[in-house]
Amino acid sequence: MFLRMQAFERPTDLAEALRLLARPGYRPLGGGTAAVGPVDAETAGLVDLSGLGLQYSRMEHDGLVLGAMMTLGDLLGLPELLLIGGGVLGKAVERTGPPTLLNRATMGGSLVGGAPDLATALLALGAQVTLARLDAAGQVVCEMSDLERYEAEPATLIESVRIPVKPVLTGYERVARTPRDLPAVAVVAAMEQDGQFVQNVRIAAYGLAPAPIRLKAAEEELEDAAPIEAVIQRAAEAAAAMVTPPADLRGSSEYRRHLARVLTRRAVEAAAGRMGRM
Amino acid sequence: MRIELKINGRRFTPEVAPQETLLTVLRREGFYSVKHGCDTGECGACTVLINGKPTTTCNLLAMQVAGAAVETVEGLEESGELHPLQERFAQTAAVQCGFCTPAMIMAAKALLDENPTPTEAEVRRALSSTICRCTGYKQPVEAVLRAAADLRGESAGAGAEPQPEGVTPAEGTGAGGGAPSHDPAAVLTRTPLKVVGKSVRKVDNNKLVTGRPAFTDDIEHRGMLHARLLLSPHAHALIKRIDASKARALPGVHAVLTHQDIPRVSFTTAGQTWPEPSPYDTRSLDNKVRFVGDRVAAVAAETPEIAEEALRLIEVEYELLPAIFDPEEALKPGAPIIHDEPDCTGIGGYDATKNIAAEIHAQVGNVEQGLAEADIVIQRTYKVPQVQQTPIETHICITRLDENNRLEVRTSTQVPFHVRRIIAPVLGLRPSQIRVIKPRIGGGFGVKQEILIEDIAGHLTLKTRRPVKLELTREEEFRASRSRHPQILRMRTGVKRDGTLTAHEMVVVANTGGYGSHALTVQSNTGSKAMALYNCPNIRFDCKTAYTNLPPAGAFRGYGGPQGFFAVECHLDEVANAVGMDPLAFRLKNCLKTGDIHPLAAALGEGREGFEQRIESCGLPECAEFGKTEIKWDDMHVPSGLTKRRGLGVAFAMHGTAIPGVDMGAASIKMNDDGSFNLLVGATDLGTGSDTIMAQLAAEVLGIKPEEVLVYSSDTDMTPFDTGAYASSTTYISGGAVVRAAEDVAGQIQAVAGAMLDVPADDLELRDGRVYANDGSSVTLSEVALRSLHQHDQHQIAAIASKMSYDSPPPFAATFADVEVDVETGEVQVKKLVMSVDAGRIVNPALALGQIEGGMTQALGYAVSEEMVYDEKGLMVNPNFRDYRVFLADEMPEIVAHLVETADPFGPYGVKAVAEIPMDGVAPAVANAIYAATGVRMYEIPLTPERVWKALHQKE
Ligand SMILES: Cc1cc2nc3c(=O)[nH]c(=O)nc-3n(C[C@H](O)[C@H](O)[C@H](O)COP(=O)(O)OP(=O)(O)OC[C@H]3O[C@@H](n4cnc5c(N)ncnc54)[C@H](O)[C@@H]3O)c2cc1C
Ligand code: FES
Ligand code: FES
Repeated sequence: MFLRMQAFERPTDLAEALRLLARPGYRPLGGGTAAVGPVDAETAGLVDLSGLGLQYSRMEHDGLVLGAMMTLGDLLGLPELLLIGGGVLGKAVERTGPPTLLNRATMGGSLVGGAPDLATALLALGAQVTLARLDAAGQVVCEMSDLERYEAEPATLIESVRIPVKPVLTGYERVARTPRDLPAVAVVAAMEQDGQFVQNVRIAAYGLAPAPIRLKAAEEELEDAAPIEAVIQRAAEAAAAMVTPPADLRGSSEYRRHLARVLTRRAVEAAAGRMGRM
Repeated sequence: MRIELKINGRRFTPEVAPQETLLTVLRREGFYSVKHGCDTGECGACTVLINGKPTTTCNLLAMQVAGAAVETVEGLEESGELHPLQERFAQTAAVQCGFCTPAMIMAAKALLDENPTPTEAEVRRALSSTICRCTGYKQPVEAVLRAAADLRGESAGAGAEPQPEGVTPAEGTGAGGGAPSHDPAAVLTRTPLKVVGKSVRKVDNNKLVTGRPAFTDDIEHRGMLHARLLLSPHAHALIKRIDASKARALPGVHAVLTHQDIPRVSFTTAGQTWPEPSPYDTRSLDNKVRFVGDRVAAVAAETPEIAEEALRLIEVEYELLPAIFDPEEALKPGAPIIHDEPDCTGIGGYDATKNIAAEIHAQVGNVEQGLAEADIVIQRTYKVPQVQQTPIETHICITRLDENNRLEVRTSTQVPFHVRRIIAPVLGLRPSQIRVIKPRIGGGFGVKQEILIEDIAGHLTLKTRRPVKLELTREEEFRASRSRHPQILRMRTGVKRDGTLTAHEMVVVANTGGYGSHALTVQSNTGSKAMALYNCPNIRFDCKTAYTNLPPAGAFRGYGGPQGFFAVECHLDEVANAVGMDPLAFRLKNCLKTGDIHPLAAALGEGREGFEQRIESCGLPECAEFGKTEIKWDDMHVPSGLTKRRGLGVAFAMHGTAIPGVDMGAASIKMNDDGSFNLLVGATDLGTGSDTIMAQLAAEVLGIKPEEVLVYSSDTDMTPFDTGAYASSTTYISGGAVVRAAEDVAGQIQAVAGAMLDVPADDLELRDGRVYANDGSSVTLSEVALRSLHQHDQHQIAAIASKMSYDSPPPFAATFADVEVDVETGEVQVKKLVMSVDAGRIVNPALALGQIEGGMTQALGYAVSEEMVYDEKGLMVNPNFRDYRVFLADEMPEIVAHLVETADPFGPYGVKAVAEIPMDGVAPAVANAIYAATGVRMYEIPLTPERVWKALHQKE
């Protein structure tokens, strides 16, 4: 319920959208699934991004580029999805909610509005976010992990997300009270195979810090190593050692640290289990 | 601004404000099928199709979809013909309260438009956007699959109601064990039944699948104001100063009420028979708040937004008092006193100076002596959480003054007659100055056996002389309505090596929160149900119910049973284990049998003296046999994986059927010119299908089809009194009244027909809409009606009858669970649940199975995921469906519901209750299965991953 909202704008070009967003109390609107509903006494105007032509998806030589207004439902329908990390992105999108949500929630809105499984998968896959800004700097491309830094800036929009398309092996593990609940912890591991070894290891986790993070200590144990049991175990221990998880109704700090260990091990095992023989 | 929408193929150009949701606009345009159950896209009740895709509309601005094509359930009917989806939902108990039904149908339509041959998993995924609190999803999923076949042109006989499997009819005695004092065969075969025992279509389903305006909110009054409540942000505080002048000055605000503006009248919100056995500890508005969410002030304004804005302008200065949340702490000397005001009264051990809302002691035999005789004594402590009913329709009422200046209260309640009587003194009116209308209800489960908003709306209407609508938001429903009492249960049981119980003791500390509604009776039910299922010469039940500063508990389906059975059924599993017996065999050895005397009924009434009960029917052996086979009990020691371990568990349960000597229902029947009948009942159908059951019972007696019975329920001006829909009483009590009234009417019909056919009235039989003489001659019911109303000795064929009972024949159930435990993470996956229930004679199997499936699903939430969680200041941190987890269609384990029919001599045609017992057995069966899987006992629910992991971890 918006108490103070005066204006609803649907600009047709990006520059105009950014100018509108520079006004005090103006906010971008994706699908609205998170923004509309709760009592909101701040928003003065909403800038609906659906007129900007950002509903596209495009395969480029090194990545899949998704416009910020692409819905998660349309994303699920893309045949390219299977090329990405053995389908892990599709699974994470599926976890983001029921069909009614996926039909409306957008890529851009989900990165801001809280879609933890999706954000974790994107982080593990090395996705980059392109932001449009009103100030002189114009467009910036940032890592998923830097997104938060820009969110606070006024007149900044997520324009698109680029997901590298390359042969990565992935594992995705989560623990929740019920299958459709938000996870207490979710871990997505992604890595490339080089003979018996793995490289470019990226392990991302939700539930171990206020936002999804990379488990760099675990990644380091695995980088350029053969993912045998002892190594995976060391990586799992390193993951648990590096985090100080927050506590909430889905899990205490202690339990989440334990899950960091178990789920890192399982996610890496699952990814390594997909290694082809050479 | 004007936008264009194509709704169900027609062009609309509504004027919309920028902040208005599509839900608001669609309802304003008259599309009442689009329901409101939350504001955050989480319940799914507001789902429509936008350009062919299902979408929630409470979190969608109308402006966002300007120009779009919208489809609602109203558009599905074609020239009076139901769409196959509507038809298939209508045929079964896929529709219970019907509040979620339009949304489910639309989600299914989108699926079938795209995929004519969906798998069950695909159907479940499509339906997963809608929370159904009533059905357990099984019948809706089946309805969609059947409709898909219809649309493909594959089904044969699409017309007839499918008769579900899952009823084992009574064979001869139908009851296990000893001898009943009556002849059950005689009860079951009194007459060959035509309508009773059939899964006839629900009488109200057509209006629900088409989304016609039937619910409280589906009505407009000119000049209606929107009310909102200001809720306390503090758990325990005095209101030092409250100033509403700024709020009153806001344009569009018509009234602001604080405790200074209304008379102070103590009452109980518990909708119970007079004199209510709950303390009178509540005021409409008070100068003290006792939980986060307690009412501070109320506003009525022209729009919901203005009302919300006004709330923010009310200035309140609180003096914070020490708050207490733990019931055991609350009972200690020196604890802050929650009800220190002088104008509180109560019964049943009530002592507000010690924070005691109720105290109960019941004993048979001598427990100390029994413990001394035992070979083994086991003593354990169990804990059960606070959980909420969460009907998808929240509390809502609309009040107005009618043309006679009487207060009309249209409200979603289970207890219309209690509402009228209880709010009258609070509003300074006589009951006769109030008319309470109960329209269709979108689920209740006990939380609407509580008078939570009608008084405030009434005050606001009396103040403004305008119609007022007060609806709780989902968040308010969580924070400020009612819940299941959390309890700490201490069990001590003595047993001989041969498995004979020598002593059985339960000591409970319950938490009623800030107010004591149902504090005595819920807790006495914990003892009288759970502690009475097993024969033992020495039984003790002691309980104290404490006031604390948590949101109040109250009535919730099961009413103390689920708490008690979690403790008893886990405990006896451990006892069986200690004496080396199979837990199922142990239960069958000790449980009540036909002919036994209920061990606690006389010692434990509901706030009054109890009445001795003899068990006249008990189908537990048959229930156990069915479940044992279905769950493959004898394979329970199959080896399971190293990290994922499988196990099976069992639990028994017993409930009651109505409160003996208390519950009363009445019905009146009147015959119409065409041979149809109006049946007026005070009973309230909260989605259980009781209107249909009433129609079936009347139709059975009158020899007609249920469609010929027009059921109306309920309206305090029109229908006879009924205590209301609670305590599993409707079929037994109100149904009993219907049968009596129908028998009276049948006699009057026979008298008229006898004169017409010139035969003695006694020789006439009512069947197939006619009255037959022995020689085969007959007259139609319409001819009888026309003669009696228009031609000879004119009179209205009509009757009114009541029923009350001192007997409360218990239903029984056996629940089995198959679970998998991940021993590294503690995650528990329930693979399969089987519940077999002896509910006496079954009037409508589809509806009864629907009750069991829905109850099992709520009980599954109680077992593994549902819990109201608070921060250290008593603020609930999960007041929404994202964080408070209710099971969705695609999360469900396989569920098997089953009925064992027995014959009981008391109820009409031998019925017993079915609605509450499914709540009792799931949690203990799952906990016992976890033990079977891992060797670890769980003493606290819900069985969340972390809780199970901790227990496993401690063992290591
Ligand atoms: C029923 C339901 C269930 C859900 N279940 C889950 C779940 O299980 N798991 C899960 O992970 N999440 C869940 N969510 C959250 C869901 O992921 C978000 O609601 C959704 O992803 C937000 O997308 P949107 O496009 O609708 O965002 P909007 O509501 O439009 O916007 C969200 C926020 O992002 C901002 N924003 C939108 N677009 C942009 C942009 N391009 N650039 C910059 N800022 C932008 C808005 O200003 C707003 O602050 C659920 C939500 C609902 C309603
Ligand atoms: S999802 Fe819209 S009302 Fe609940
Ligand atoms: S029938 Fe689904 S919520 Fe009642």
